[in-house]
Amino acid sequence: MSKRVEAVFNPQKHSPRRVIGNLWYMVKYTFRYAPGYIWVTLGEAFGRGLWHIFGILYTKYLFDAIEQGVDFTEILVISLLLAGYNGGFELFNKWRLNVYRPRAALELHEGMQSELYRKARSLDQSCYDDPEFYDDFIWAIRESDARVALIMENLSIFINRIFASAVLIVLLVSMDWIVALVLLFSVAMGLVVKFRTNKIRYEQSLELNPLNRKLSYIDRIFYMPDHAKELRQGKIAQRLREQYSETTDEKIKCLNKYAGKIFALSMFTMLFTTAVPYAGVTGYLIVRYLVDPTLSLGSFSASLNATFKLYWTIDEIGTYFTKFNEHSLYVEKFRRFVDYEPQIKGKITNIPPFESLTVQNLRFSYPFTKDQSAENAVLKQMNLEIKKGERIAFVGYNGAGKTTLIKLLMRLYDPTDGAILYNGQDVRELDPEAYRRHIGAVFQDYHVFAATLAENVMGDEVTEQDDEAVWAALRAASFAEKAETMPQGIHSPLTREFDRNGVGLSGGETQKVAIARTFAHPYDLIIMDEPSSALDPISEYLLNQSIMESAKDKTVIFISHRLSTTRMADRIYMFENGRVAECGSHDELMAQNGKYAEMYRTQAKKYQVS
Amino acid sequence: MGKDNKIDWHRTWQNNKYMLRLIYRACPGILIMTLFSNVLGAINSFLIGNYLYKYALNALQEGQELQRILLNVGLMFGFSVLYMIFCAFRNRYMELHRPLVSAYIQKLLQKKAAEVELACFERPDFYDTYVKAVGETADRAFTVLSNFSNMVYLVVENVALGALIVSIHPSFLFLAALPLVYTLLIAKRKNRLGYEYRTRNRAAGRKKDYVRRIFYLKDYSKEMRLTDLWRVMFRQMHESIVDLKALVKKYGFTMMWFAYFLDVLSEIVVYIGAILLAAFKTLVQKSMLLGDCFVIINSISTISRCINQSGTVFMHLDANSLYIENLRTFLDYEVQIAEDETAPAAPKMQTLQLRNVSFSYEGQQTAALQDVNLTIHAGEKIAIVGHNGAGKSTLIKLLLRLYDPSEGDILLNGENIKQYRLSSYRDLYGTVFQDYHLFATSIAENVMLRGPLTKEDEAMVEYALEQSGISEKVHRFSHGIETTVTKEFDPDGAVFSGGEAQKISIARVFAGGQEIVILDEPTSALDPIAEQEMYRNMFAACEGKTVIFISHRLSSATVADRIYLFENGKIKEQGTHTELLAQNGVYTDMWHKQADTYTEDDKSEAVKV
Repeated sequence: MSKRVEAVFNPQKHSPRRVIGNLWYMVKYTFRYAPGYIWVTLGEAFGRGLWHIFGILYTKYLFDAIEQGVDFTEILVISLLLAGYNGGFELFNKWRLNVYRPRAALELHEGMQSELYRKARSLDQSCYDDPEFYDDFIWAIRESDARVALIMENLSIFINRIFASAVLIVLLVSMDWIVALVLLFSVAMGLVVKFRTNKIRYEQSLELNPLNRKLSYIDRIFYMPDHAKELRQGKIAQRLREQYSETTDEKIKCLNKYAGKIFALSMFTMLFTTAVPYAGVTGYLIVRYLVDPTLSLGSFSASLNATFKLYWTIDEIGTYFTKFNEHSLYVEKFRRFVDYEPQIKGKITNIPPFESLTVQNLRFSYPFTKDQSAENAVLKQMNLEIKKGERIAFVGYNGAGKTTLIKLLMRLYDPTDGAILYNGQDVRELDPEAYRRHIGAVFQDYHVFAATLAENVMGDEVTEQDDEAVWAALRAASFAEKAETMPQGIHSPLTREFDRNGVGLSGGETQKVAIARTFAHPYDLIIMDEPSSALDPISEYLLNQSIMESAKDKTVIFISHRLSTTRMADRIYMFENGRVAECGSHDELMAQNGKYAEMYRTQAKKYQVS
Repeated sequence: MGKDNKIDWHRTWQNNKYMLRLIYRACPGILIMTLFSNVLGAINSFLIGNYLYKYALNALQEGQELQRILLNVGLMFGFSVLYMIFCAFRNRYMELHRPLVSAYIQKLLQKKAAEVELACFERPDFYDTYVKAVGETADRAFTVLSNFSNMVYLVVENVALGALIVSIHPSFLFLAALPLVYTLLIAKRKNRLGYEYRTRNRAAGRKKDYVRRIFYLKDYSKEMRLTDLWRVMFRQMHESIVDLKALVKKYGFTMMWFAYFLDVLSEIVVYIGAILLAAFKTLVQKSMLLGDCFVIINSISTISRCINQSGTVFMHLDANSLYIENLRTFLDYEVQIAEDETAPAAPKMQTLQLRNVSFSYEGQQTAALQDVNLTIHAGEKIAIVGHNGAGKSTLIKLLLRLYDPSEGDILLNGENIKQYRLSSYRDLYGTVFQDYHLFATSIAENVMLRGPLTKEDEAMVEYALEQSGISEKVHRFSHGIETTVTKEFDPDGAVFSGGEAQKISIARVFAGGQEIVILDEPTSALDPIAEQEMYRNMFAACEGKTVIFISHRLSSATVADRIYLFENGKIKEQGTHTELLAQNGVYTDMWHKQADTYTEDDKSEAVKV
């Protein structure tokens, strides 16, 4: 894992040009979704820069004025002018921080996230299997808007510091160029040390990250309800706490490994870029003030002030280079995701109703699995044909490839070799969205979403006209009875995710809602992967009846482990190890007396007690 | 939370002290080092930043010897350099010892989280306020620590600066303290308002965060592609944004004015005011020395910043306190189903009896179990069947004392199970839950549910995996039973399908050697052959043991010594398979629905029912 991360994150990889390009790329999003934010940010940067400079000039003026004994009214007027500027600027700034920025951030969020979500939806399913891409993808989508806001803030401070330090340098050189020189030298040294430290810190973080991940994993185990029951069994809780200690020890060991180097660098920084220049410059100025009667107190104090402000400013600018580099690394991940071209595509959007589906010499291995050889493919040399109006059952052992084939039929993946033909046409020529409008599928890992029941069933926003379709679909999935008892009927919110009155469904009920989805639209072909696995016998029975009733004039493909349900199929495909081992009607397969017959008898035997 | 605007400083301090004590217990050095280094830091900053100028200017005005002045200035710089060296050591010390503090506190919380009864996880308010919040406690400990170190620093610097200013003119001190007065006056209102703002923000932002999760989690990826639910999600995001914007409008301006007045006070009134006052005294009244005037001009911003920060420190004390309060409530929570080390160990089971047991989940009106009576004898095989939601899984949770009954008793060998030591009682059972979960640790530890393991344990693991039919798959991994589950921490980690993961969790029962085995739908994800094999092995391994199993596939219930059929939380029918079929009740109906589809000739009869 660490090797992989390194390849992506090499801290010295980005040239300044690339960094600027990447930052600009993100700033463009602000232009698009919250353009005012840019001007407000720039306004703040220059406003604050001016304030720093006024501050120094003001102190110099004060010291000189008091030393020379000028009229108090003059001091009063100038002070009030400065107060006025500051009062105005701070009002602007506080408005920016408390009112403007949060609002702009929300606008940015909505604009950017909408764009990203659309993109996310268009990604190929296989992107989720590529751990590297998926990591980047999660990162991109989770952080994007916060990251843009951060980039804006950093840029604002950066511009202001550059502006301020330019003026300070001019000021300082005009007052005392020796000080300016010493200062610049120590700042330069400081930057070198800082880069060096960052590099070590970076290497260290590569080693620490997995340990921190482990620690937070263990924490999570204890706080997430998921594992609560198991934690109360056996001694696993104790074992996990031990592992927490062990991981902490490892973490300390890792910190120790780098501690020496970091200590040396930190000592160097403390002494040669902080303490010595500080003492040196101050000492030098004091001596100069003491021995040189021409140096006014105002100039002395202004030099001192400017010196430290400049030192501090440039030092800070240094930290921004690292920050920008980090942003740049992030932006590249972001761009990788935004620029991704989906592989699953097709031009034809006008797709005729379903007539037949043909699987031809199909071979498939999941992308990003190491072993892509033909003999270890998930599906090998698969051939089958499904015609309009047929009932097809896929049966077989766990891991035989049934679910994978369904994913291919839905074009969540495309074949590695061979083809799938829809009405004789290669599905790869069809637009996936349009193609999927003809097929309804329920997978084993169905979910309900935090939306109303009707929306969950329609899989879309609903209007009143949809009510009938929703009820019909719920009846088909034998969920209508339950829906009637719900407080707001089909418009009741599901899950307690953000509605306390939301309806929490049991496993079986969730499954029924998922099944209802396939009946809410006039799909020609319906695919169900283990549609009754979470149901009790009666519900299973009723569901099967109702599915068959509702799907009378549709084509149905279903996967089931309960062979009793497969008996009504027109044709059964028995899968074994990525191939179709047997195929035919129940009676034919029983007559063949092969794998299917064996499986069936195993199950039926247990019911023959009565 | 109350409406009064006064902070209960006593409680606030108590809470902060509580956290500091935890830190001290975890690693005393961290606290001592923090204290020491901040005292030094404040002295250093005072000497170099303020005192040095006053000393040099006054000494010069008094006409002291130049050499002596330079020597003293040099000494001060010397101190500063030594302090910097000390800082490098301190940083090293802190970095190496911070993880100890995190580990100590998190482990304390983990222990508690594993002790509290399951209901705490299922009560949303309790869970949200306490359980979930403590996940970030270690970070909070460092917030408290850093606030504490600021406090120490500021106390020292304030005292030093106060003395310096008072030595020049006390009136400046009053002026400089203005922002602090303001901060303290509004502290409670501001903190409460901020707290309210954050809480409401979090609530309003929940939808937005949910939508984001939906779009990046793999779990939802298929549905997102196959439906148009994204439109619903977009609408919810938009609603969330609208709510959040309304909150900005509602709270943002108030927060803005709070912050702005503080700024006006400290940056304008105090800073410019002090300068004007000093200039006035020097130039017009001529009552102030030139040197002192310079010191005021030079230090006034430091002083007002310092005093101002003291206000912030107090604010943070209060903010931390609100949080620590939750933490304390959680840590002090009296566990309802607690481990009592003095209680006797649970004996070997002879009988297990439920007497008039009723149970309702908190906040639910209908009882999950109603007046259940049943007795199980050692060695019996008991099947529990019924519709989804009939109370079967609840029964299991009560047996395992994950909950206690609302009414009635559960008796082990005639004695109430509450009398026995909790861990020893739970150790009687080996359980496979319906919603089994694996841990990201080695396969072997996942099976034994403990570790580290001995050679005998490993042999047991091998046996258990063999029995549950997953041994072959496990041995295909290069590290065998030592392979880590999931790729979360190990790129070579084992990834299991649903059926495979279920087999691992079943292996726990084979390995556990407990006398009572509970199986809650143990085969839902298995194919028929695997299911058959699993049951065969399970019953062979459980010979002589008590087995309680829930299954939807009635075929597996036929072998049971007794079957309980649950309906709406009550036992509706009970008896052996044959007895129940003879009753011709609900069970018979269920049985036929399943069985008839397997018998070749009576499809029509099944439809009739």
